[in-house]
Amino acid sequence: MSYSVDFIPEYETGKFSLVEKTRYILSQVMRNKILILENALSPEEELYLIEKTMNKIDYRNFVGIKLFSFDSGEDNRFSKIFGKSSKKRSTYTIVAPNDAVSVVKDERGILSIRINV
Amino acid sequence: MSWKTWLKSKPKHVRLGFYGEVNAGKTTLANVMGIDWAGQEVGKVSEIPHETREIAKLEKVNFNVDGTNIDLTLIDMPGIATTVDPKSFVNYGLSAGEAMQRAKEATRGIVEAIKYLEQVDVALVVLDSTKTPFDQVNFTILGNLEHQKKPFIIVPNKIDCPESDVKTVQEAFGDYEVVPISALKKEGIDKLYDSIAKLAKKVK
Repeated sequence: MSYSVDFIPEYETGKFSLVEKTRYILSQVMRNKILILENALSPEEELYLIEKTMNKIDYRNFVGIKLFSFDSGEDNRFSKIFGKSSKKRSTYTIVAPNDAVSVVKDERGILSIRINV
Repeated sequence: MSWKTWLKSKPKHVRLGFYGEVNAGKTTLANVMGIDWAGQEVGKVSEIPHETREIAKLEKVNFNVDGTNIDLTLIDMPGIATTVDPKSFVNYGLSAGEAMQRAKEATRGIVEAIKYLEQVDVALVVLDSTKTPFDQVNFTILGNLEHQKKPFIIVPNKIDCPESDVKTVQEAFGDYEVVPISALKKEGIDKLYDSIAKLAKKVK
């Protein structure tokens, strides 16, 4: 299985509604694309994406996604991500076919994406 | 008795949702609460992931802590996940047919749990403290609870396990109410009850 990695700039998804954005992401991921979205998904968008992913699972070729949002902050505290004590929020979201990647975040907040080939 | 007095004497009704990732111990905790306050369990517990595939409710739970009397509905939710792979169930000894059936029910359960989020008054977000708390599902659930202004308590479970790392959970979610427990060994449960009573009082 081969995967391609697409970096999606903000202007590409910024014009979409929630439904359009979700449909776009799922259609790309189901074509074995690993997406790195510059315009990170909000928690509501993530939940909607999970819901729609469940509807697309066929249990053979597509069993779900890997989803990871991360922030540009100096640490990985939840409060920094969702802005309880600051207004900072996630800046990138990675969405990939479930089998495509392993995503690991270390204690320094560095994200490693291991692509499974 | 006037209707106003009757209304005031009536215990407040609160829908308490158990949310979290798969196999975090939501049903084990719901069962502890069910037994403690209503004498019955809410659901079946299993080590096979996605044992809870339908929302399970226990209504008319008379919860009384420090003079706070609440009519609780315990709502045990299917664990939320971004993937459901029948192959993973075969590893637990299920036949291919059973695994497929379980997977189909699990995906429906996840959708149900997501849709039900709006209807809970207070949420317990149960985490497995033996794993990293930085699972995206946890952040997604918490972000949505925040967005919907739902009160919640973060409940790192399984603190009786040697691999449990409560400190990391507390550091990750330091600005929020974190109550570590072991649902299995019933450790930390009284403190959790105090926290639930405090939050339930604020529900309108």
